[in-house]
Amino acid sequence: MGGAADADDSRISWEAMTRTRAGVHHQWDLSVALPGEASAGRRRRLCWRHTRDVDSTALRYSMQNLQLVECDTGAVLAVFANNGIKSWKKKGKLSLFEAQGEDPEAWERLVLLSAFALVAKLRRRSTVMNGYGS
Amino acid sequence: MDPQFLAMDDEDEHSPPSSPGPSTPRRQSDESSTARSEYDGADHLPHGPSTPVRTLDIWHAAAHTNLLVTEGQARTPRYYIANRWVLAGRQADLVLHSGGDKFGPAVGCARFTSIFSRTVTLGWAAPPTPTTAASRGRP
Repeated sequence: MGGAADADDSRISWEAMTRTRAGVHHQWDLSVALPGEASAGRRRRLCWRHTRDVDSTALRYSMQNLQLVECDTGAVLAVFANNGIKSWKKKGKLSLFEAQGEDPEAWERLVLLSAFALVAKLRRRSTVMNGYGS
Repeated sequence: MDPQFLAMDDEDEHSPPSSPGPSTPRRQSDESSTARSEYDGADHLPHGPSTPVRTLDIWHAAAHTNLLVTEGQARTPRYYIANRWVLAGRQADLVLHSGGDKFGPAVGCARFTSIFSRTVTLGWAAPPTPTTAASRGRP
């Protein structure tokens, strides 16, 4: 996975995460079928939103503080708190509040991948906008 | 001095004078006002987060480019996130590896169309079925 040949691997299921709100209160929507629910045709509508509801160890005013919300119910499923410049070694903490679907591992991977794809994108964009990128 | 007056002085120092009206709210040391929120301390979220069922710590790795995901006080490595800034061909921008280093099996990847695009494409590797594992010569 990740290479030129692996990008066409049939074992990979692709999903698109789309930005639906820009600016400080940015929001990214994602529609996924979790393991065990795909056969029933059920798709979850999830969204990553910017949040400031993080604990004191994290950098409160960071654009990379994110919470995963189920769009239909408004339930907070996960929160990523970014430490920013408060810690050199530790990037932050990801808290999972509720396991979804039949496979907790798959849910954990989904949350991790979507969260850090977003964090990486925000970081790259910030780097370029600040003039440090190519 | 009369001990009765001393007792009255102590009382004045520590307790407010009694008044017939409603009691005045006390301002805490970390508050700038005695005004209270109409939500009365309730979380403004419809379903506020409670205690997390699982907490993962994220650590910088490889010159603050890649990330290591650990769990618990023992820092058991769970995942490794390889972040590629320079791409060759159709490589993914971000690869999620299972295990503590980039040599672990890749379980997910992400691709950005561009830095300012509205879309991020995510890919999850399905667990290998017995048919595909046999065709690839895996045990």
